[in-house]
Amino acid sequence: MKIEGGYAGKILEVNLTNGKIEKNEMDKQLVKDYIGGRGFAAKLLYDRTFPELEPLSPFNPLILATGPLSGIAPCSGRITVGARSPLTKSHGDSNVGGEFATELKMAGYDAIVITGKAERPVYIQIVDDEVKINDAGLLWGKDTLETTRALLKEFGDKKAYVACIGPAGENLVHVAGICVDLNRFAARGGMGAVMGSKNLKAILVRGKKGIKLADIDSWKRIFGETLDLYRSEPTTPIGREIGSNFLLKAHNAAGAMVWRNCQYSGDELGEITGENLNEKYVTKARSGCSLCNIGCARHTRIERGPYKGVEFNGPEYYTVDSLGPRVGIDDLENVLYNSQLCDRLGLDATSASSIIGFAMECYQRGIITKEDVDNYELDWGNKEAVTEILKKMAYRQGIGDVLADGIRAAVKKFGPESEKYAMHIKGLDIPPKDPRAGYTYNMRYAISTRGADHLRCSGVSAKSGEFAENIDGMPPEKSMKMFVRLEKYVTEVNLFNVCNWAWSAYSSSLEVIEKKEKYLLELFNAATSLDFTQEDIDKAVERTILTERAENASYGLRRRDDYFPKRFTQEPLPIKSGGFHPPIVDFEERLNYYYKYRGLDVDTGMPLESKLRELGMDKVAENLEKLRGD
Amino acid sequence: MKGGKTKSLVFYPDRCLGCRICETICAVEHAGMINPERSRIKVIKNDEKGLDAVGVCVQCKEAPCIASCSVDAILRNNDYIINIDKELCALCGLCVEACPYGGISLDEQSGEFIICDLCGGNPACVKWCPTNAIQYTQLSEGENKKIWEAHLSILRSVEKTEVLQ
Repeated sequence: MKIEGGYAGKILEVNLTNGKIEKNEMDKQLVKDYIGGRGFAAKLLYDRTFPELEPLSPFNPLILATGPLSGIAPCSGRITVGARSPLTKSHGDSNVGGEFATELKMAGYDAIVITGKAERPVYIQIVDDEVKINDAGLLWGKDTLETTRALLKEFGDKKAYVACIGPAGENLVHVAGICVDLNRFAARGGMGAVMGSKNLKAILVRGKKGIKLADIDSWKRIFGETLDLYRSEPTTPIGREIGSNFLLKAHNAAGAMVWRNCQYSGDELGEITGENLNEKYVTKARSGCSLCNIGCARHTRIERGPYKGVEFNGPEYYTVDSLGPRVGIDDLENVLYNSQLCDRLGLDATSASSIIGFAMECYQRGIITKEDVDNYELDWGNKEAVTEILKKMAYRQGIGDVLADGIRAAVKKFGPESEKYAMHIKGLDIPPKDPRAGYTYNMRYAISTRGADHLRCSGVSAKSGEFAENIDGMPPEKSMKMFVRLEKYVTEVNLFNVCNWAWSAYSSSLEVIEKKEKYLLELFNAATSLDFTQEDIDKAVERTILTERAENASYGLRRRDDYFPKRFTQEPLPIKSGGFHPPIVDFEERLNYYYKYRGLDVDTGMPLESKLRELGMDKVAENLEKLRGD
Repeated sequence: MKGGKTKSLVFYPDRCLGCRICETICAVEHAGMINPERSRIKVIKNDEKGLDAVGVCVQCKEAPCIASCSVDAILRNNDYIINIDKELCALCGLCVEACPYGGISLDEQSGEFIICDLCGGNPACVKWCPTNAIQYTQLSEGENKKIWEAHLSILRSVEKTEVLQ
């Protein structure tokens, strides 16, 4: 098996405890079995994690994995960051865009594995073959904007790219993310805290080697055809003109948008719309991601008023809902301000605000009082309290110190009565789309190995709700077959490490997805000279999901951990504009079908031995054998 | 074809996404690999201010690169296209400094200074740009002046970043 392009061919391993830097040849079996991206993260984590592993100990590896199509396919600026999550205590991975992945590959590395803990704050500087661990004493305490600025200034070549943490990561906040290229975030699951626990402030990369292509003519042809396909997709102009914020109106109209910690949906949006954001604050739609022909990101600026000076690339739908209706805030400028605040502090805007939303509902119901939350009147829409608590979370002060450990820690603090208002799965907060709006489609939250997550399976069609309705109209057996088909495709997208928006979420039909699937494989084979078949890719997808499942099983996760909070299966979701979504029905049946189609044991949710052996995962099968019966 | 009445690359900054597809295809066409370092068109971004621009030869009338070259290695050919004679080039780099459009750069891997050659009349960057931000057209002198001024203005804004101050 000779690889003539696509991959850089090396994995960089940095041990921060002893300062050892290794550049290891990439294992060809790893390529064959896991392809790249999320697959690499799954395998490298599985091999290095163990049940007793403390997520914030030096032993937790931090993996950054590009994909074979990073810098090669349209919309391919993604990198996967993986570690055992301090937030969920289970498998953690987070995916972020920008130019960092492409630059890392151009420097000669497909992935970085960081282990150990530096004695003092450091940053890793990668310039092609030259890899150094530098002192970061002067950077410690700086926010992500200041850190990126300072590093680029010192380095002197602004074509370098920076991944860094803010105060939240330094203070081991469990919902801290990693800021990439100034404006982008590997937000979910607390990867920033893992970085902080290693005393690692940042990674700077500059790559001048470039990327080889095995078959240039084929690559050009398929790349061109892919661009043509995007040109004809109705979702391309939507992405370019309004980005994911088109969902504010669409999700809200479909009664899917989260309001006040999932208590209802479909209320008046007022100024919280993508159209309003565009008209008043967006200066330019721009890509910011490698080879992206859509450009869903928007550069945003507030020119006057109390929030004058706010300027950044963003926010997207999830952030706007989370910092807005989810916590009862209807002031768009305040949402923009808090969004940049989260970015600069290095907080996951979704989880941080969800936890505040949870506290607000507990306050509404009298489960907690002012005294429990540093004397804030925690009423819905209290802007001052939200801003203050976000800051307190990042610096672990007062109530912020409690919420900084995540939703489950907050439940412990507020008492058992609060549990039914904690909207999370496996400890990861529910994204701002209510699972009751689309039972089958939103099974993705339940089955996701990293906790409640909208990115593990994707719909078809830009019109919010349309696909969800179609698939929900089918009997569970049939609908879950379709679900698993789409989950497979999204996982493929993650292995090649191309963009979830461009390649999967906003495809206008199943035919388009099939076309894209074909292009991905053809681009991969053209770039690498590997002659992989769709079956090879499909098997890598299965291995990836089962490896993540096996890792979680080793931590004790079982079927019960795939369940929704009871609110979603017992209470209807009132829609203010009229009607309601009934509670999720047939959940157990759908989960059974998911397990069946994925090769998981129906009672435990653990991978079946026969399935593992069929995929050549004998070692995993043996490890799991020891766990069965637990 | 003398006197600037020929087609040249024209950049429309408002349409540019900063996606770097032009850079990628240029390097593939000219160096046989994906590598912005070897591209004759450079995407320059300012992430703090949300600005994107391209540095590329626009065959400008003044052509300060030609004047800057002490060994006459930079000349317009019969089609009025500026090119670098690598046999004559003394590798001094003065042309890089002279060009306000960032149109000339050093390809460190080949050790040569490189400039857009318009792909022999069918520029790949134009063909691949997803938003038609870069076009290959013939404009009047007045139109060219306006376009060039806008191009220089965005290049100056992009370069002006707090990051390096």
